[in-house]
Amino acid sequence: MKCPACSKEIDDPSRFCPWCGTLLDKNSYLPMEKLDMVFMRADLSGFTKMSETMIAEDVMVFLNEVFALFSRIIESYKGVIYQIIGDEIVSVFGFPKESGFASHMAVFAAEDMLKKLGELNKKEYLASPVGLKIGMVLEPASVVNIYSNLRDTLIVTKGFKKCQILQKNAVENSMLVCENFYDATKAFFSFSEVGEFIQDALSVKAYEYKVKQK
Amino acid sequence: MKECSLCHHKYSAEQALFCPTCGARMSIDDKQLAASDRLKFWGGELRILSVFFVSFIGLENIIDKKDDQDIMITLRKCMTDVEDIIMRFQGTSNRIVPDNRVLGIFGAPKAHQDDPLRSLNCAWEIKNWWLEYKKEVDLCKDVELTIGMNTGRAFFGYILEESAFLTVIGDTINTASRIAEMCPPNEMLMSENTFSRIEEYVDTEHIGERSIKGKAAKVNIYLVRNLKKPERVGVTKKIPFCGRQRELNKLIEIAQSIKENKAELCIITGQMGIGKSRLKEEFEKFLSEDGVFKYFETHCSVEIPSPYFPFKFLLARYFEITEYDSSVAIAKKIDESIARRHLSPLVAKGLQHLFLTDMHRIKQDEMLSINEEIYNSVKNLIRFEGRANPLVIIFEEFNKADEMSKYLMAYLTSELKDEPIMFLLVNISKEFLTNIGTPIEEINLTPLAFHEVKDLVTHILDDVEENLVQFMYKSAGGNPLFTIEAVRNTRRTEVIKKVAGRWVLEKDQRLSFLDDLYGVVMSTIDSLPSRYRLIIDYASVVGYSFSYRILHGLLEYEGLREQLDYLIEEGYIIISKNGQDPIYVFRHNLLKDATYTVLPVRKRREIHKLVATLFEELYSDQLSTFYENIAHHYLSCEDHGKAATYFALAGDKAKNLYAIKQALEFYNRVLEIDKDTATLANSLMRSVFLNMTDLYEITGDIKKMEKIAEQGLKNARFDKNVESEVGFMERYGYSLFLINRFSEAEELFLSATDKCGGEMVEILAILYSDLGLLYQTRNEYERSLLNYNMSWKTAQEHKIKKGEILCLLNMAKLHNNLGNYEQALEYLDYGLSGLIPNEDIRWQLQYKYQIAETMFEIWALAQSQEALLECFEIADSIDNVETYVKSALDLAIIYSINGDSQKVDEYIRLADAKFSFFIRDELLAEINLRKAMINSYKSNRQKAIDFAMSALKAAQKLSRRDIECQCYRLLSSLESEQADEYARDALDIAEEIKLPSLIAAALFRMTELHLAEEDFEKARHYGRKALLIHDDIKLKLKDTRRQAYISRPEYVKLLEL
Repeated sequence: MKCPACSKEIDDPSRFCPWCGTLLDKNSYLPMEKLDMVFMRADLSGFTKMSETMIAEDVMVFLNEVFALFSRIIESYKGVIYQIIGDEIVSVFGFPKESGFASHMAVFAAEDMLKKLGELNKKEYLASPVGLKIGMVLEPASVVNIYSNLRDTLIVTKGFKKCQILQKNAVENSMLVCENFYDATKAFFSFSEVGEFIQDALSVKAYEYKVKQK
Repeated sequence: MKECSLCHHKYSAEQALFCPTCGARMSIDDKQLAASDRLKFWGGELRILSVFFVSFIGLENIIDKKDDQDIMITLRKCMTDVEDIIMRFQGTSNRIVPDNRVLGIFGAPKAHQDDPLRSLNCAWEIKNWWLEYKKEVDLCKDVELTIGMNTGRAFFGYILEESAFLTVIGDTINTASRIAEMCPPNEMLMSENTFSRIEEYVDTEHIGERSIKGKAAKVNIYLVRNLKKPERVGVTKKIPFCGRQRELNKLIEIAQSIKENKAELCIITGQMGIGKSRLKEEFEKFLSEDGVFKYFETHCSVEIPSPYFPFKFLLARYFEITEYDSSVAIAKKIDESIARRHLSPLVAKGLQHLFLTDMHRIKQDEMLSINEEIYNSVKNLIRFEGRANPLVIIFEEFNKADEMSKYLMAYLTSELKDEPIMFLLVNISKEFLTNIGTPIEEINLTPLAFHEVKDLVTHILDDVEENLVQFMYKSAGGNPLFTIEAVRNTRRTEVIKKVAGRWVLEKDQRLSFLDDLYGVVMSTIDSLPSRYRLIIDYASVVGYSFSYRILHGLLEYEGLREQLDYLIEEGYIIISKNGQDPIYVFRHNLLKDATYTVLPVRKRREIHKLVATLFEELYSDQLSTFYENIAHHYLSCEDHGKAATYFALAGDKAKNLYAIKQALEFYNRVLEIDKDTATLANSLMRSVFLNMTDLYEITGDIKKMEKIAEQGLKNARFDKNVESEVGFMERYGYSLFLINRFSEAEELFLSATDKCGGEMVEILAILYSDLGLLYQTRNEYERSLLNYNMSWKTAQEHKIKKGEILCLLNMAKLHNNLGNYEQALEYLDYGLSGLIPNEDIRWQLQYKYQIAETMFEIWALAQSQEALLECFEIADSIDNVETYVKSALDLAIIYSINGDSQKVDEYIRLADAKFSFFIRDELLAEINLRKAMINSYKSNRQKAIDFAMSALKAAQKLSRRDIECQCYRLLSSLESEQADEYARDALDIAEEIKLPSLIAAALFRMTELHLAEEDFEKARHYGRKALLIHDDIKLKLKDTRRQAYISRPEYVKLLEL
């Protein structure tokens, strides 16, 4: 058969054209799953300002150290690094299998990250200390390619955006969570209600994490 | 079979780009992958990038309204298509799924010459693709696309070692992201930084200055309306030659004047950017068009100057020596070339010294003779070329030349002043001028006048208003480079604008960037397309000058030569040597310095390491040429061991070329490295210590020599290396001998001779010779002769010819001093009749000169004169300064005895005209003594006294008691008031040093004084003693020489008495 998009010959029975990647049968479904996942976005605050006074390589060295440490922490709580965007790390918990404790794990990870950052701030070459702002949400998501490598996985969710709204509104060295997240974890942790944030037609009710255990 | 790394589906289509089952992208561009690997290894690069963010806005808002399956297919399609377009333009894409964005990057990891333009075309195509796609897909009705572009420096690299994430950091990226956020739906915005690089390719609407979060200054933003038809990127019009016609005419006039067989030394001076290089280029154009002149150009811009670098560079081109030629090939090329020109083989020999510098440890005399051969050969070759055609030799950045080149230049200008040769030095140090004895024509470039600035500005902008020219003149102060940069900058920042086809001044503001030279330079570099900029980046690490081969080894660009041609055309670099491996030089050193400074430190280190290894690999046959370079690169990448090894080799090379100061600098670098790191091998340190002791001996820093020798001795003993230990015992002993600690020196020499086994014969011969010298200084002549004989025997038995020759000469000198003239002549004849090879003219000269001296002592004046004339001619032909001056003055003495005052004056003039920096204090004492004698003969009493006093002081400083004695004797005859005292001093010293001829002379002086006082008894007493000594000497002479001896005036007088 020939690919309707690129007209190249396709030998094997395929869902996608091996040459241009077009989905061949519109009726064929993507290998997609619906999961309730925890999304975490953690951004280094004050980093841009500080990096302006440092040589680029030191910035890179520092980022490498920070993210290597964060990635170890996140992975130790069964989270997965999804992407690094400049000075922001995006991770997912409850993947590839849903877990009732994904939110709790995310809180532990976030708390560890905040704690360890203080130690990293003692580095001699740092012009000034950096802070961390964390946003976390529990949100349904549609995910394809749930095999081994999350980075090549497409995720359709409002979770990333909501998470970003929380992260941007968090006070330095604090974490904000959404209502779903709060409901799932309030038995274990104490939060204080912050209010509702609205951006790009999305509204998110926010709770600030206070104490680990009641 | 190929396997999908994601879903592990196996499929047969090897070339497939997508997994047929899960749709994952299977492969990426190989080159990009290779570049990414390199970047991961290095951690990143600070690059000039053109980037854009493509953001899909509103996707979240359709979740819950549309089927996730459809959203997923659309999102996937959008991301993949955008990535495909970026890939087609050879950019790098970074998918940012959480934000539904794709980042397009141009300039890293693989840069293109037109990255800003590529990014523009790519973003434009993405926009058009989107507009079509949006029409086709219903789901996209509520989704919008925005694009924000920016250009600037950013750090491009990978975060996390395992499963690395591509990351781009910096203000450039943040700004692009903010611009995308402020972009109207389905449009494209760009910053001024991007716009200024591609304005001729794009129709835009300036939508004004906008505040960007995190940036203090507002940014000018442009909305892209359409693309214009592309033209060639970056080619600028060559700036005309403005306002320097008078200076050019002056240069031409000077060049014309050399046709009258008159050499000229001309210098061009002036601040950076004033137009020195341009003037030189125009002058070269004249020379090449005129056709009468032959001209050569060389440069002095190197990180660490090696001895004679500009001359070597010049001669390498002349003889077509490449960096891959082996030593044999170089020698052959020089020999053949010199033979074709019917020049003496000695010229070839001297020039070969410049290139073949890897020799075993050589001593002071050899080093001196090597340099004299170099001087003479360079002079003869230049003279030869000048006689064929009037010759112009141009030296760029002469202020950076090494010390030896400066000496050689001073020598050439003095020696070739009657030849049709012009030396043109661009940029020189004031210090150099003070060392030049010949007249200098200086062309000092001053700022351009108003009308000249007007010509320049008009050429760049065509039609300009007077006010604008006035502004440029005021801002750039008449500096051509600054004027060009001011025009560029004001165009970009819209300080000037085109109104109705005419450029006008929009706002009269201070151009602060011109205050900072660095800013000017950086703006020049930053205006380069990124690929070219990258070439400049790499070249700046290689050095002020860089070879094509090294650069190609670093970059492996296709069409690199054409790109380098472009950089030449644009005035960033100049080609300094063409051919198989062209050499390029930065047009301004500041360009190189500024580029180098902004490179990431870690990356710089990596490149330095690579450059060092490339030198080792690519130029393995001619590595000695690059020792200094390699050392510099290894030091810059903190490979201290290798840096020290190469600094030591550079020191050896400099030492062999008599570049004493430079050699010591290189060796001291090794000591510094060892002090800082304490990691260097003991064997390396010992070799450095040994060479340093030789150098301190030459410079007369005996305390330092002693200290270094002692250190070396400790090191050798620590390592239980007997051979080294003996070597350092000799050096340490010799340093003690030089500071008159004779007993300690003797003890060391003796115990070193005990340690010498049968295999260390060379050092054994030296030790015997040292002992001979020590005993000679202690006036223990028998022991001295015994040790000299032992040294000779050792050298003879083991066929150490050089040792034999040196030893015989020492013995001949000693016998001459002792009045054993026949014995002295016997040794000298033996040496000349077979021991010294015919081609070794220098040793022959030394022997012949010693014969002349001995003949003079015998009073065989005619034979002495004949021998001296021969020595004078030989010394002149091979440029042996010492023998030349001594022969000339000795001849003047003979002529003054014979009363030929014309000849006396002639030879004194010839001796005085000889320029040399090789004249040591010891030689100066001898010269002044001779001049005192001549003036005494000529009855120039005061002059004679002055010279005698100078000679006396030098002799006292150097403990040359024989010269001291002669000075006192002479002064006694010149200074009547202190005549007795001086005569007594002369006699005391003569008796102390026990040299018969000096005792006889001092006794005769005493006789003369007593005769003058009419104290005949005392006169007879001293006279009788003197006569006895003379008779003793006379009896040892053969008949014919005896006749000559008894004809000496003092002998005749004594007989009369």
